[in-house]
Amino acid sequence: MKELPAGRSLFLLFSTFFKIALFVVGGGLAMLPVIEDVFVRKYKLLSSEDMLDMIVITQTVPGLIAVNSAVFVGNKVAGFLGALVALIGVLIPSVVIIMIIAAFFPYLDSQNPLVQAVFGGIRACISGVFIVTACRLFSRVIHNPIDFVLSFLFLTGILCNVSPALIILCAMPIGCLYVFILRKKQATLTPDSEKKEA
Amino acid sequence: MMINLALFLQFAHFGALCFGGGYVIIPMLYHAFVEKTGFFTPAEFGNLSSLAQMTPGAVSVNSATYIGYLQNGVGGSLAATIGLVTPTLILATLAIYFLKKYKDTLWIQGILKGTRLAALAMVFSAVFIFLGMSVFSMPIPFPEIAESVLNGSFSLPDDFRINVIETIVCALAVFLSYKTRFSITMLLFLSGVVGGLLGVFM
Repeated sequence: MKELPAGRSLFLLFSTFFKIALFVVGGGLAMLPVIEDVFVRKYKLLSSEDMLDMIVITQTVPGLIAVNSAVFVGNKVAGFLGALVALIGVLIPSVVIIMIIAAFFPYLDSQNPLVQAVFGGIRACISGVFIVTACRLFSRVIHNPIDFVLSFLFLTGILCNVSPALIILCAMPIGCLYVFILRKKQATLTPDSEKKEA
Repeated sequence: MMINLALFLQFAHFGALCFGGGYVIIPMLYHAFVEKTGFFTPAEFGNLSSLAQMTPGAVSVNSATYIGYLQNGVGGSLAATIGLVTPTLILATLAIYFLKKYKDTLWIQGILKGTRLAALAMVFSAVFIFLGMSVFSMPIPFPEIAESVLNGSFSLPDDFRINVIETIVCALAVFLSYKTRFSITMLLFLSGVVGGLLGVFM
């Protein structure tokens, strides 16, 4: 992972999360493609595995996905101060927009056709960039057929309305079993290198 | 001041109970502000929650700011919003700290291996959720489809349609974000403009 000067990375965190909160409609997970685009691909401050760990945290720690993601990315990039800066960045646009609406247009009709049309366009765009992000993560995380089958089983569970928290809970022992078996197999195949490590 | 403290504590309580994301706050707010105190009528609350979902940013932050503002102005909205995010800030920081500290143990390696595969599955399920809100006219009914396939017939609900404009925008977004170096915020902004223009002229 690359390192940026502290001031630069704090500004990057603030501006990225500010833009995310300003342009992303549709709740927390929708911000994933932007985070991937900026922090993984452009500045290489996070890895694809970090992105997936972030999703796990957002699904297991109670709280908002947006806040969880800001805190996670901020922490990885610039420690606790980074987390605070990213959090403030993600909050300001919402707070300001809603305050303006509450103060001046308390009876704003959210069914307004123009508003609907603009957000319809943004939602279609999010579906598109989400497909690309999903495929990129797929190519980084799936290394063999077993990975694929496990992930596919988890997906089937989620699509059939099993709660994501339950899926993650089941994934933990499965992952441990997987790693222990893999390690045993490697140990029997290459006993010499194991000894060297020890 | 007392109102602000009360708002802070109330929303901190909501924030600590949001498992799996901010959407679950909506029923909690309904219970607290419609059924218990009658601060909103059900119709006002419906308008509030669709407003919170339509405006950019996190749904729960939007609702907290809105309700806080109506109760006690700018101070109230800040108190409610800060209250909402404080539990998440503390819990997520602790979780990240423990993850970092025990990263190299074999147990955590195994847990991460499994949960990353589950997280990937969640990303793909989110793809279907977003497609159901844009390209298709309704969420894709996977359990029903699976059932009909098991019964030996394949059928979709009657009102399941493909929206043409959304499909084109979606395909363009796939192409541009895969093939070019357009930033995604730029793509989101452009597609909002395109959506708005099409909405005006069609």
